[in-house]
Amino acid sequence: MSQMTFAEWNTSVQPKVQGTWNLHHATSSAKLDFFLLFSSICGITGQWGQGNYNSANSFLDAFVNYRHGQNLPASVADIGFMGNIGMAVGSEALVRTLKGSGYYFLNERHLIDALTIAIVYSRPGGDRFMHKSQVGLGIRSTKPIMSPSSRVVWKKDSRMAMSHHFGCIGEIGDVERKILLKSAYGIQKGSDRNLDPY
Amino acid sequence: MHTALAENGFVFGDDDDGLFSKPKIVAELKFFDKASSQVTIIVPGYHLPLVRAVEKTFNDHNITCIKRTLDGDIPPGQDMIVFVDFDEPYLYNLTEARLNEFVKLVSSMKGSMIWVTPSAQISCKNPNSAMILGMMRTVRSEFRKDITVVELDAKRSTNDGSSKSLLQIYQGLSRRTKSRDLDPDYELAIVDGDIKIPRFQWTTAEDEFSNLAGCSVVKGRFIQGPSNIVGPAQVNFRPDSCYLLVGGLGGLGRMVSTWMVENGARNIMFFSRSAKDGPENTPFFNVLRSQGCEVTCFAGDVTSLSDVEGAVKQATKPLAGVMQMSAVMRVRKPIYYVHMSTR
Repeated sequence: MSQMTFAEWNTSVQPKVQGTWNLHHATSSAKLDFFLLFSSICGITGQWGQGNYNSANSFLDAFVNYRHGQNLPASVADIGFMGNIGMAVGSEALVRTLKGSGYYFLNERHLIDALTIAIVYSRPGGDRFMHKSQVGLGIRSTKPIMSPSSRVVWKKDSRMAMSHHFGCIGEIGDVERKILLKSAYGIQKGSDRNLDPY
Repeated sequence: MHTALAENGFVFGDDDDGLFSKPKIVAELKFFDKASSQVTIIVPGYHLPLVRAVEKTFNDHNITCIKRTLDGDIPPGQDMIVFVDFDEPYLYNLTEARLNEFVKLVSSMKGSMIWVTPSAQISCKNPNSAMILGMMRTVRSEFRKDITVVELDAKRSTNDGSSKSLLQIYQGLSRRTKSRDLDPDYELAIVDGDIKIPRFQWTTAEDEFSNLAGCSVVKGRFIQGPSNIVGPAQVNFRPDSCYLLVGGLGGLGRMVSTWMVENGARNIMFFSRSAKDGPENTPFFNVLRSQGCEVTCFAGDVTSLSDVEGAVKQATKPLAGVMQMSAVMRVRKPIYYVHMSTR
């Protein structure tokens, strides 16, 4: 990131940030069923090498909350690495490197399922702390998450702590399909305390 | 056990009601103030009442606050609490000078940083400030810096309450346990006086679809799930409306538009810099057209409001949905540049 130039910042940020504002304003009088933003799981995990891109992606995630606050439909799909639809996964060598590190590659079916779910949950309302309108996919490691062979960038991320219960996703049949995720802040007030580390 | 806990600084509360009927905290670790310490507070350009409240709360607990601005000299070894996002969202409309200032700040820092920012992930009044979340996640993964981002819903919290929560968070920094398996929580939110932490929950497409299966029509009329079988739910797009696909002529956009047409869409407008009929796109458009879908193109720049307005005006049917797929990638290190590229 220390090498990122200002031009690079603008090229990756403006189409998502200014572009989304423009779409928001230009469609203000339309009666939309959905306003679906394509974001990246990298914005959530902080994949290295792309601070500009990740900043724009976390903007998109928040834009859904912003529109919901105005009683407008919105949803976002945070898409992980995809293998087979020409998604610029650079080179075969790069794909091998990533797969070797434990990154899971998605297929078209995963994406269409996620878009379906995101569109279904376009409307505001619902749980304040559980965003069903934000669908992430591809946060899974094909290698045991706690083993050194898994080098996914989010392996120690406490937000993903639940993935540690899965052990190695890819070996266990039942969680094989667990590719979608939703974000939640804490847990609803149950007793007198939240999940509060302090 | 009671004695052992008490010897180690735990304080017991009243525990006479329903101790075993619900989870309850019977003892808490009490925080004692350190002898004295110092923290640098990085303030926005205008007077922010919250800063004064924080200064007072911290001073009351023997923590000296040194106020600085981002463009001044910031001692790299000090812990920092940064409030500049309350001025205007720091990363939005970033200038080259500010980008350099930011990179210098985070790459030279040696202590801990708490970056305080308006609420973004729970409720959100201005998404522009949310850019800091993705940026700080990247900074942590690239530079391994100790940066905690605290979201603050200023409308729902008093300055006094917020500064107490910030004190609690600041004092907690040195008490975080180091774990080999998990990093501490680097994202927190102060909501109604509580400190919240984010957790992701996994679900399956199958589970989500079976939740929908009970209702044959969900959310108006454009989603239908099968009524008793657990199978893929289906989005039925409106045949009498237009859908705007932005940046959607790469592999991703082609796949998505094909899916939409297979599920009822009969009017799609592609908007991107390269959206036009021609040898590259026309064969694909013709496939959609052969399925009864009217395809229109608008070659324009999504960062230009007049271009976007022009496209929306050109729609021949009422607009019912927008897919924002713009994702121009310019990343220096190709080794971990992996994401979809759409044009």
